[in-house]
Amino acid sequence: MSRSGRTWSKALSGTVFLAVVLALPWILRPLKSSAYWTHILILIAIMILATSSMRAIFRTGELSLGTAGFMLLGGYCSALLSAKVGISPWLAMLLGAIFTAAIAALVAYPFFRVKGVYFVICTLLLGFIFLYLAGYLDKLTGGWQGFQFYHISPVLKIGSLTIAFTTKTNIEYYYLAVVVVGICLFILHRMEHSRVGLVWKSIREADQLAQSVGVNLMAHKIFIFVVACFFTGVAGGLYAFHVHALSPTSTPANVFHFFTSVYCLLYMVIGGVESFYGPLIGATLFMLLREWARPLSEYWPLVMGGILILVVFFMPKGLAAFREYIPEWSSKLRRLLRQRPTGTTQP
Amino acid sequence: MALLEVRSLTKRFGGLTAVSELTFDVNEGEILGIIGPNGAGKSTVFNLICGTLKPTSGTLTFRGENITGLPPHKIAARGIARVFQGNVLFPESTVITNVLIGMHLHTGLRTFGFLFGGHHARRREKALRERAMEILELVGLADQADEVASSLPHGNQRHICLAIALATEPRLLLLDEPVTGMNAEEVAAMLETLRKLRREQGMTLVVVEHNMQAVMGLCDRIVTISYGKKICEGTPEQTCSDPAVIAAYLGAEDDVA
Ligand SMILES: Nc1ncnc2c1ncn2[C@@H]1O[C@H](COP(=O)(O)OP(=O)(O)OP(=O)(O)O)[C@@H](O)[C@H]1O
Ligand SMILES: [Mg+2]
Repeated sequence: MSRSGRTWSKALSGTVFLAVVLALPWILRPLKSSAYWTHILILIAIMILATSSMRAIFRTGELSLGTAGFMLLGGYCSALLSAKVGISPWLAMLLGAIFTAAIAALVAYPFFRVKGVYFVICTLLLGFIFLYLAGYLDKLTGGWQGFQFYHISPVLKIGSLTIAFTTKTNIEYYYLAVVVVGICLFILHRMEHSRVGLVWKSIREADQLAQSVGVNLMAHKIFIFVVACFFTGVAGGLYAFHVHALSPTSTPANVFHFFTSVYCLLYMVIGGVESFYGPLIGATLFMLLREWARPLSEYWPLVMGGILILVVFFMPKGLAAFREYIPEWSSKLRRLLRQRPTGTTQP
Repeated sequence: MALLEVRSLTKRFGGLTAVSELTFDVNEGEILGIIGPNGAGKSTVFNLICGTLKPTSGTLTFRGENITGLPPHKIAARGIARVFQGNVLFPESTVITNVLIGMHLHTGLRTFGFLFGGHHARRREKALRERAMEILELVGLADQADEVASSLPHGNQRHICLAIALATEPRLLLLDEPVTGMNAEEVAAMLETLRKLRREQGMTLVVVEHNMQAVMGLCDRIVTISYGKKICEGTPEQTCSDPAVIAAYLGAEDDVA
């Protein structure tokens, strides 16, 4: 009874969520800056995918800060393939992600020889290496000036529906991003809830014990790293075909700069590492918050830092677990209220 | 031919020789005890057998095959399981999930089912769950199947560790201090479970333990090591009366029973 009720409420909330996601551009339409908001929504979808990929690696207990770097690989590779070789963006995006995964596979073995903070540093520096390579290989990438490309976009026709890679109408691209990110998240979700997800969990909780029951630690870590980097590459490709301008500069405004990795980490922690929906909640909430906080301009990092610290202190499991906090807080509050009077009567 | 043959096993950590020229056999179906004062190298021997550490020299032969230097997951696949010293388990998972993880080698899932689940995989997981319940029944934890592992008392956690090892369906089970830190009742329960394993499943056990009473009552044979060297091998009675053993323990501590 309660179980079927739970599945029902799950199905219902899923449907509502999906409906909202699909209807968002229409809801935003009356706004004067609706194109801008659609642009933000596309970025949110991309960052959700990047954050979910980071979280997949984190499920095994290792933190990769290479997100920005792998997004850069996926973005540049698919953009170059499309603009210079003339491959269809659809294929280019896939090839870009495969290229990203291949590079991840190359570095995974040496990287996973080390653990903890050393692994973090390795992935972090790799991101910087990609950034500088993109800057210095100017014959290929356009160098520090960045790389712009405009092209007549090929169109995908499914019946009467046409989807095009254009810069003009963001709404179509928004749906494209939602579908691509949705497929990627679906795959990640299935993996997390199947046997392999259990293996990741076991590695994080006690890697030596996992090994002693037959888990090939290295193979599993490499596998999830490669898969996650593939999806990070997809995120990069989605970004590239959205903005049509890539840059290797090290300004925080550049998505391929290391700051993006840090943001992903924040979205992941704020949203809640334990929940699959953590990255969705974290990225959506914070990216929207940042838009509303535009007037704060340079104080934004300060505000964000403050909120983050509060969340870490009061909601260690992230926003996704908000239901668990309510009874906890209310009992704390009650205790506090009860203590007050006795506290004042004592000398 | 013995199930496991340990020959001239040596492990050096820099200048320290933790295990030195150790040679002994583990016979099919026996319970072998390994005792020795703190720091004698008992856990290191287990680490070497399980592949967690690579021996400096010496060979390990399991069921006629050389397994020296194989990585831990391959050793596990050959049929050697281990209960670690201290409660090494999956602390945030439920008791039954702990056992389910232990079944990693026997899921019977194909690649697709393993990665993405699906109908077949779900049916398989159901069967695995039943098998896991049987194992929990055996160690007496069936009632607590859905509790979070780290929330249980020490004695029960030790049984979870055993259940995880049993889930790998081992031929040889290595137990590092299975009853240390338990009260008398828990000790009795654990020893009874271990005896039952041998009696009903013909499992071979190697037990490292400081609780002398437990070791003497449980084991068929005992290997005593001190400073990484074997100083005695024989029945519990022979070991108790061996002057070298008494000297080793008197030199270190007074807990020989
Ligand atoms: N990884 C390691 N690196 C360096 N020295 C080690 C390592 N593992 C064990 N040792 C040393 O080897 C010796 C044997 O340790 P071991 O853990 O095998 O002892 P033990 O017999 O299991 O002791 P206890 O009864 O306290 O568990 C000790 O001196 C220990 O400090
Ligand atoms: Mg030990």
